[in-house]
Amino acid sequence: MTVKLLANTVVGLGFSRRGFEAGLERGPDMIGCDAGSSDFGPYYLGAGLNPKSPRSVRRDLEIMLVGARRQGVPLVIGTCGGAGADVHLQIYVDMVEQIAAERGLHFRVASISAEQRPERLHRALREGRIAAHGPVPDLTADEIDATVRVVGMMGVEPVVTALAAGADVVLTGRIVDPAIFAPAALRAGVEPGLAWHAAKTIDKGGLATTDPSQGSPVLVTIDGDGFTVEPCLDTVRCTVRTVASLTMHENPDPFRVVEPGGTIDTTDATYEQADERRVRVTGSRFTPAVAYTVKLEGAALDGYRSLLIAGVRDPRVIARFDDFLDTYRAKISRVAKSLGVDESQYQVNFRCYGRDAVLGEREAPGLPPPHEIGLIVDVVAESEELSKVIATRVGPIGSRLDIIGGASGGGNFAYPFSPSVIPVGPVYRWSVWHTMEVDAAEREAMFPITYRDL
Amino acid sequence: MNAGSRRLGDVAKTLKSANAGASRLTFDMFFDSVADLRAAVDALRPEVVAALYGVDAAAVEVFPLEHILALKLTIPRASSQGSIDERDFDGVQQHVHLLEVLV
Repeated sequence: MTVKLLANTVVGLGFSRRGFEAGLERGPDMIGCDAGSSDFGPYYLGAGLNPKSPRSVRRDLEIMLVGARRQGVPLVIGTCGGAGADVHLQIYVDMVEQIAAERGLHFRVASISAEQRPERLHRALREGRIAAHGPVPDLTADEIDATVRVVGMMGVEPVVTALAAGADVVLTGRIVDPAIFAPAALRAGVEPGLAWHAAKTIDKGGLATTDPSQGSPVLVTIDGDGFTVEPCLDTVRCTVRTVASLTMHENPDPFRVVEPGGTIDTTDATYEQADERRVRVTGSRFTPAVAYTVKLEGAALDGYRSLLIAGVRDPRVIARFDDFLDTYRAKISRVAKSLGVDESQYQVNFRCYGRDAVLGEREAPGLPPPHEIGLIVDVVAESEELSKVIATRVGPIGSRLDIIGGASGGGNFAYPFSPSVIPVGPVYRWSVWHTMEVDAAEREAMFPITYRDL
Repeated sequence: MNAGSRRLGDVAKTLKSANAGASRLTFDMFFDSVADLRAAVDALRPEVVAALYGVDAAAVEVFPLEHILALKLTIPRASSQGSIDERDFDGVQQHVHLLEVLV
């Protein structure tokens, strides 16, 4: 038995068309591509927006869709629209329907929702089935209520179901990346250790190669007791290091990758350079979990942001910059109070580029003062209007603040832009970053599938 | 060369940081030899990393991967990714303190 899976990196990031055609010539049994990530942060989940431009998405989607139909193999796109909530999934459903209509393609499309209603979380919280995912605060009922949108990360099961129902194109909401690829292998009878690790190896596409930006797509061939991974472009290589490093990538533990329903364990996996461009992997295991858990991601609104950008060059001000910021903050607070604004209604944060903007409290002690500071005054308030009210006052307050004692020049702030206040819009935080224990019935209910024959 | 006289930034072929999810930061390093890797593991004791980043030593995870001459460290993020006080959204500039560690 041989199963071949063809993977691109991320929809909307682009890939080599020539490489993709070369991949198709190898006769893949399925084509898959990830379309999202939590890497984009809570904003896109909260705001319901796609971080990628429609034109970039359309280019990649159309090539893969047309290729998959020509080949007659399933196409699976995971975490549609960036964050994988219903509003994001719909962007992809609409685009696939549009491409099908324009190209005269006919196929069965399955869309799998991953958005969760708050009642489900409340119930699970009451029943003690929700746990923190890493170092985050425990979930509370208040925080669930504050959450504007929450998704669950599906595993392989809904995709297996959709493929079994004859879906030619599977569009999913939030999903763990390997579950885009593993279902085709599992359905063909590949044992879970191989299927999951092979899927994990290609789920970042070109990252498995020596050229992450040009290496997409990659092909994995599962046969016998292992799998072989190779780039489709002959100018790119897979090496033991590029392939073995994949379980390190953005993962806290390099040997064990926790997935819904179990753990990919690569502790005893061996990686061999099969030839100059291909790597052979054996010894992968999948350890089933005692309880099936679904990772939840939710975003809550933190307020509305306005920014002020200013340069500070006067060495006398820079020498006393801590004093300056303390006095500045106190004056902002007094002015806000005079406008009837309570401290609970807004936050002001300073980012001092040239000093400690990047590392903050983790910056090394005892560094010499810089010759200039790029100051960003960051105002987040509970309404857009209030954010503007505060932000339009912080400029004059800071620029006219006399920290030197009568020796100050015309102003402390050199503004690069006019208007100096930049409205940024809503700010979201990760309010839910937890796991939920589910039984088979609830798991199925969490990820409903809709079929359409186009 | 004497132990403790080389900068980790010179010894490691690659030294980078990134988010590992929204609440952790992970450092990936690659070396030319097992000897360099082991020297780095000796230098990057949890209490050393904890002091550099102001975290609890018990929260520092160290994973040497001799088969690919790599070392991975994981610590908690200063705050959750994208929080109001975010300073490095992707966590990609947080490795700088490790460059100066003597190996």
